[in-house]
Amino acid sequence: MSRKGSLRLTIAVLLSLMAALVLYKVLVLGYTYPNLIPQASYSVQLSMSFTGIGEDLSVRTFLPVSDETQSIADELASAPALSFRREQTPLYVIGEWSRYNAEGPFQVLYSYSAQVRPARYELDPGLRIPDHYPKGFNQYLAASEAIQLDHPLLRELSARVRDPEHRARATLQAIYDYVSALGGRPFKGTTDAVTAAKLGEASCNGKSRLFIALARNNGIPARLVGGLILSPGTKRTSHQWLEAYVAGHWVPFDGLNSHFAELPDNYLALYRGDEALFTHSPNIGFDYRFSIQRRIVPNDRLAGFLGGHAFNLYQALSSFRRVNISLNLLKFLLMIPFGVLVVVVARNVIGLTTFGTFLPALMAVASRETGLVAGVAGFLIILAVTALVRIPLNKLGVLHTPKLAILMVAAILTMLGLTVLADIVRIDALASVGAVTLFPIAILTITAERISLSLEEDGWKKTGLTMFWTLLVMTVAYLMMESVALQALILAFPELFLGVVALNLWIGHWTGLRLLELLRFRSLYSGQRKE
Amino acid sequence: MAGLSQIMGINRRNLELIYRHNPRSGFPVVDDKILTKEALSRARVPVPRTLRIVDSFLGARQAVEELERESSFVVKPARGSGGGGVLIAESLPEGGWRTPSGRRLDREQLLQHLGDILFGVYSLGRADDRALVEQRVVPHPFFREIYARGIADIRIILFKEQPLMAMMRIPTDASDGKANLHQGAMGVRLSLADGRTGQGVYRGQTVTRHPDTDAPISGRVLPFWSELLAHARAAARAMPLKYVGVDLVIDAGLGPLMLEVNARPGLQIQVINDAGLVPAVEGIQ
Repeated sequence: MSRKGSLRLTIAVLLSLMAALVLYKVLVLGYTYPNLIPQASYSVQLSMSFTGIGEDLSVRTFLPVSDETQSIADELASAPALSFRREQTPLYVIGEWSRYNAEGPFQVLYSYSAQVRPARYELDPGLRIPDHYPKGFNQYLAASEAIQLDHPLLRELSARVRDPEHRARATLQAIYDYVSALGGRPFKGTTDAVTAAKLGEASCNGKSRLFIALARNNGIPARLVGGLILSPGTKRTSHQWLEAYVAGHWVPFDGLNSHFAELPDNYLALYRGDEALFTHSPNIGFDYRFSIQRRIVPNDRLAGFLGGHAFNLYQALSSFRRVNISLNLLKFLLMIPFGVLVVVVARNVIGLTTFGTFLPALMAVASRETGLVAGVAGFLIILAVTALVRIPLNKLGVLHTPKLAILMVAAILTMLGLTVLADIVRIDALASVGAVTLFPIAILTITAERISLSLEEDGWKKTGLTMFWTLLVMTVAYLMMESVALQALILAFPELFLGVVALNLWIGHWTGLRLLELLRFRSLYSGQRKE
Repeated sequence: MAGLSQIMGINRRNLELIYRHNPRSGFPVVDDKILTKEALSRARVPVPRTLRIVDSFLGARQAVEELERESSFVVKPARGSGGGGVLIAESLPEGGWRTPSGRRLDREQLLQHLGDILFGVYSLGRADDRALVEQRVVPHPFFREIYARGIADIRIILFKEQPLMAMMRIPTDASDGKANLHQGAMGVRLSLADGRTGQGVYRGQTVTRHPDTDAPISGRVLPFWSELLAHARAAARAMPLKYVGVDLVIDAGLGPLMLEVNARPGLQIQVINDAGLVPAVEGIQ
């Protein structure tokens, strides 16, 4: 058989085997997609630090609890030399760490994993605002210090959003439209309802208070919700949104991030009411941060489902665990072939040139924990540092390999410096940049040196273009590897790798012109050569 | 004009020509200019005279001293690529050298350059390397009439010792005297039958005159054409590879000289010749 013939046969065999396994699982074993979709799970760690000055000391904050939209698990508190108390009310749970005559530095770590289901309410347009509510709702209709109801400006605004037929949905929509249209402000600190209305712009809590004031003035009970928007990285910013009581349900709204009667799957509620997230004794140098990691975990059904069926990777998970491969690392490894496939297509089918064959895929892998932006930023920073440091080295006349070694030292120090700097100035994004680049630093430095050389030999234009393609391929590889659907599929159907191999074989024996070659050789077939 | 199927792309070149007909074991000979020269000399293909081969730092010091006596020379990394690390030097009466672009060079700088080459800065795979110092080619008047700076060269692509396509590469102001198409040199098509020049391509445009000197380039007949073809065939026969591109120059005094042999010749020659390589390859198979 010819070489081409055997290749085609191999591809056909691989694809048939894959199809047969998938069909067997779907048709006979009953694999269905809803069972397989994994969920995003966030592992959150709250870290609080403070220093006792010999007096009694206490720090209080709200702890998340499971309810109908969020489930909290794996709670773990570590607080050496402090006593811990948990206090439960109908609206929230408070954790309090304290010590008598506390002296010296203390650190509290409180970690948990959180899964949030998206919430969505369809409000009946015909529903009217009731005249009376049960007695317990008075607090959600009354004025408070920061939610003024009788101020003339708020009275006027409340009248403006009022629906003549007292329909709940129309009223909330008018309030929402008004509040959403106000400018946003990133600043922290508390803004009351009147100030938000006067300024015409506000942060999350100002907008939410204004929303609540207008709702209460129109007879709709409403309350603040405080919590976290879960996104990977380190942050100090908490978020406030609100809930309005409609037809027996507390319906969420967020005027800052445009959520009307719905919330996405990353809003973690910590408390309800107009509260401060932290209360602590004065003068203790209190500081905190939330470190959040996003992981894709099998949903509850998937674990049960796959565990009970043959031929999938979930089955093998216990063996992986015994040799210290966590599910997270496993998914990491499983997604690499797909990132690499992106590179193969970019090079052999499109004809793009990138720095380093698989560097884009590798960078994408390195960015998975901290996000794409941090990955790209880390790459560019290393590049800039390398380009700068090699100027004096070239002037001094240092040979290649020792020069590389020095560049690597510079790159490592830069990344460590960034991490320390991020900690001091508290720019959380900076910390992620440091973290992402620690992993592939050697490859990065060598690539950076090659890029600098290319800059000298080929000039800005060509180097810039290759750079652009590298980052583009990295982005596509990243998105591919981040795909939750793909991660779920590969866990359930590892035989899809046969397809990946088949596709690589096919590309590997494809002799057609690459897309960019069509452009390069266009004068040969278009007959439109310019004279 | 050619159909799409007649154009040789990188994928096809790699799969059907290089992987199939150029065994890896044959690459070291063409990837190392010193080994190439040895093989070519054995096959009686003329090459520029080697002045010195530098393979150690001690040797580099000695070479710098001896090179002071040469009026001009060229330094090349043996395993360089794309013309990186090539240094052309002309000695100055007051000592030291200067490059064609006018940069002055003292002994320390020449030593440094040799050191960089030995450390593989310019070389494939960044491995240690050797430096080749050879006589500087003086271009034949045929080329000087077209453009005086730099050295034009002739690329012939052969498959199974049969010439497939040929072109001439002429430096321009934009290419800074280099005969490299990617750096802005112009390519001129050459008739395999008689070495007659055809149209040129400069920056994607068809031209019949040199962009800087306005000298006509089409319709000339290249001198030594039958020798050039014979040397190309002899070189292809001497190489353990079936698909090669050879680069030749014509020295004013010595006639045709072969500079190097390429195991993965580029595909731009198709654009210069306004024809695809595929029919020629299939004609030979």
